[in-house]
Amino acid sequence: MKVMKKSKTSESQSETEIALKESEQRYRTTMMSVGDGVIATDTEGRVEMMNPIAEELTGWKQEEAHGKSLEKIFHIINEETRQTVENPLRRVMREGTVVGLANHSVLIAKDGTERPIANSGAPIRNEKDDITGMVLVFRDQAKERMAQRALQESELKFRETVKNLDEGYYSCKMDGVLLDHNQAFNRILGFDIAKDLKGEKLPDFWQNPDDRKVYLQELMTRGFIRNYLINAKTNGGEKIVVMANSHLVKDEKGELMRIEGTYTDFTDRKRAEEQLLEALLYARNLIEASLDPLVTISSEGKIMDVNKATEEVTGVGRGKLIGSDFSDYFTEPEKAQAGYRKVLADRLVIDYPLTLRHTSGKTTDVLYNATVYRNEKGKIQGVFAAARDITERKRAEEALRNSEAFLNNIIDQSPVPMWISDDKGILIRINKACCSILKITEQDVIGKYNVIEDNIVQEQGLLSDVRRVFDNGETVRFEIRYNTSKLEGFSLESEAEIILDTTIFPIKDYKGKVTNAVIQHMDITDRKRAEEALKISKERLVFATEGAKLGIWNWDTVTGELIWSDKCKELFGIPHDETMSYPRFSDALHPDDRDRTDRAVNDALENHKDYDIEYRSLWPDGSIHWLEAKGRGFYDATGKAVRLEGIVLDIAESKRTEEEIRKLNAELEDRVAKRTTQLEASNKELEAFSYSVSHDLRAPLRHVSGYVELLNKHFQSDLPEKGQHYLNSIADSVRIMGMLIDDLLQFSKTGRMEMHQSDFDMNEVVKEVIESLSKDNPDRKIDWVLGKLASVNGDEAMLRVVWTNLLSNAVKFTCTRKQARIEIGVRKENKELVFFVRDNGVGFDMQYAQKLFGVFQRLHPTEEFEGTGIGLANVHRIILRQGGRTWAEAELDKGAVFYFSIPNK
Amino acid sequence: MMVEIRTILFAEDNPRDVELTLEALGDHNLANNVIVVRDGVEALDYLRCEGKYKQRRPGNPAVLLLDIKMPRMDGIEVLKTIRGDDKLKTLPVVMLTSSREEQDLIRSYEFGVNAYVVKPVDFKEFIEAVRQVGVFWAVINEVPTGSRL
Repeated sequence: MKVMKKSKTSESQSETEIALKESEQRYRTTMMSVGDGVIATDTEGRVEMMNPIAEELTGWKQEEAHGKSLEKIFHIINEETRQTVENPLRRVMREGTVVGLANHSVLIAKDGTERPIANSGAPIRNEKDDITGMVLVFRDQAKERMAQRALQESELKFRETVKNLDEGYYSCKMDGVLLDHNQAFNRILGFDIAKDLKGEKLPDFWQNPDDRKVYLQELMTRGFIRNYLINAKTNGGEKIVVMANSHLVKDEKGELMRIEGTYTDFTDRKRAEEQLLEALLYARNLIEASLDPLVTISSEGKIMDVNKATEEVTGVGRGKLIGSDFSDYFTEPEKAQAGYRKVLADRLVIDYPLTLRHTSGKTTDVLYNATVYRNEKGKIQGVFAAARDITERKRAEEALRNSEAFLNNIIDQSPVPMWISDDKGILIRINKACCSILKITEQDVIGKYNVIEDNIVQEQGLLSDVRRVFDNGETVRFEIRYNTSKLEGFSLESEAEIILDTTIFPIKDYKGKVTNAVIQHMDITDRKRAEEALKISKERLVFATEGAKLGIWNWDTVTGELIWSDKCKELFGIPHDETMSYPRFSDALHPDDRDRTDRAVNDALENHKDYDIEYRSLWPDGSIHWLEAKGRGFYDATGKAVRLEGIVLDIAESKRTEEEIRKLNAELEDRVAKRTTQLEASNKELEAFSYSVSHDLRAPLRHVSGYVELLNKHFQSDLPEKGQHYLNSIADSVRIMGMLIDDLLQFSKTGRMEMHQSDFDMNEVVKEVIESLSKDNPDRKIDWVLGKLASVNGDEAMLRVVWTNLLSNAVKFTCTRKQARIEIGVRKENKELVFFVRDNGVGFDMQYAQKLFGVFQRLHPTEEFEGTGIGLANVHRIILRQGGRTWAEAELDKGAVFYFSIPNK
Repeated sequence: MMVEIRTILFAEDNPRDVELTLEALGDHNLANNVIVVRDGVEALDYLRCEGKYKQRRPGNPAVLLLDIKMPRMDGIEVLKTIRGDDKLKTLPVVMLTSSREEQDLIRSYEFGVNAYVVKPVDFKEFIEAVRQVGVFWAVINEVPTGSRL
């Protein structure tokens, strides 16, 4: 640590040495390169060092001077007294401070050369503040002295010049106190030439004190004034004109020191100028008064003069315009320059079009007239140009063009077919709508077609109308049937006949002469046809209404006007010529029908319903006539009724018929009621009868059966074989009679029972019946073929009876077959469902088919097939009640098909 | 095992029907406890212990076999009266009739008949029907003991 520290210390010492050397080196270098002379001495004033400038100025080399006394090397004297001046170093030594050198010191160099110098000296001190030496710094002032002297000489010369100037010269302080002036100043302002005005205030020679203010203000702002004409007065009060030039003088720091200026007597010149000016002014006024922009342009193309109009049209002030390039103010500078060259070449240009641009961007179209102008010797000096503002004219032209385009557009776009002819009737213009309607093209007709020569016009006798337009200037209107096939001389796209409502009106010039004709068409073909159709239709309607004895009426509910056709009036017994009104109509009604009719009318109009009513008209002769009126209201956008119109017809005939029908119906009902009562009574009797049958007829039968059984039971052994047979026969007969009674009862019931219609599935019913039959005939082999049946609407219980009868029949009549086959199905026919049962049984002879469905009709002997002959009669009766039909097809021994139909729901 | 055979009240105007019915019931030893009345009035007399049945032992029969068509008062009227009588309204009533008329059936059930049997024309079937009715109502069916005859 110690070693290191020590070494660092020694290092620091060497660093200090280096720094010292460097500092010394820097000092030397600085001293050597300084622009002033530098001499360093010891405390005794002996030279130690000099820099090159000091060597040059003293003429001593450092080597020579080293150690010598400073007074010898740096020898200075007073410039004026030529006495040796105390060396400044002595003062430094004595006073220990920095000292400056006295002025006007001259350094005498080694070779005797004298140089004015400025110098200063300063002590050199060590760290303890002891003076160890001195340093002297000095500068050669020879050049400065020379300049000073030249200035003094120049000022003298200036003064001399000023003194002899023709112009008055003055110089004054800022407060106006004169510092200097020359004789001309005195002369011009009317003072004694010899009088010295210095120290006095600049005389107030202004005729107008305001002018002075303006003048001073301008001077103070700009710092100078050039060629300013002042209306002044001399010291003696004489009016003069002076031209003033003046400027402000500032010191080095920029502080205002004084005003210098000159005055030139301008009085005589001014007077001559004024006369000229008046003449010029007159011309100038003319120019200024001109509304047209006028300009003179120099041969270099610079503007020399302009008038007010030019300032206005360019937006640029006169001051700026003058001297600037004239072409800068046009939208097309090249064109302007070309115009300028043309003037120079041709000497004159008329109506040269250009556009001037205002600083705001607004442009003005102008036409230029320009000529060259010459000086007295006839040399061309420049161009004089006058512009005419043609903006308005252009606008007018454009407006005219626009208006023409506008008109053309209207004509072209107008849906009204129109064309225009010249005063001879020749077509000059035609619009699209017109080409389209006449089936012609523009090029076909323009310049070729002449309305006065049109053959269709001539044929239809309309030529005189057309002529009146051209000859008398009248407006005419006519209808023309225009058939393109009849138009001569044109290639037409297609042919058609149209009806045109045509208007021709003349166009006249201000003298009233016809110059053109406008022909407008309106295609009224459809309207004409419609009118014709309407006429026919109206005639037909009249015919029809007359024929149908219809009266027609039309009631304007707003005005109350009621119009009736003649027939209408006839129906009310009202004369044809009578004027109708609602109250008159009401009067013609039967009094009992009036309120009802009012209500019907109001109801129709308020609720927008059709009006339909039957009422009676009461004729003047007291007769009453039944009428029917029908009508319909018409309503405005708000739903308010505006009209009710309709018809009236005589319904006397239908009323009579109606009455008859009513009577007949009443009679019929009466009769039906009577019959019904009878029928009901007989129904009751029948019911009582069948009740008796069911109850009373069966009782004895049962008794017979009972006693036969008891006889058999108790006395069988006592009876011979024959007796047995008789008993069996009795029992058998009783059984059959029982069946017969049951079947008859059933049959009578099917006729009387109330029907209960419902939707049900026929498949289910048939399946149940088949099941029941199979159970009852366990020994039979039956192949049931059941197709898909429909769901139907009918009395389920009754239809079950039908199926039971048909299917048990099928089972019965196939009993001789080893393998019975019974097929059940349905087919849709029109509005019916046709069900069938087909068997492979014994069938029957078709010639007896019509007997099949009758009561007690049997086609087979009882011995072969048991049966009462009531089953099919029952089926027939039920199906009839269901609204259907029954029939059968068969062949003997080849099976049978039984059909029944019921209406499809 | 002794089967208790309770009293059957049988209302029938036709003597042949009575004979045949009793014959049928007799075949099954049911005839001994059958009381026969000839019309509706008599039937009600019996049930209410009135008229010639004033002296009878009180109590209701096991069942009333009732014909519809009878002189003086028909079966439906009898049924209606029974159902309106507090003492009789619980009595089982079976219509035994030749009538298959829907009207009779509907009215009978409306008035609360317990069964409706149409007499078959065939005697064998008749016997079977009567036997079943007799056995069921006189032997099998139970009624509240208080009302028993």
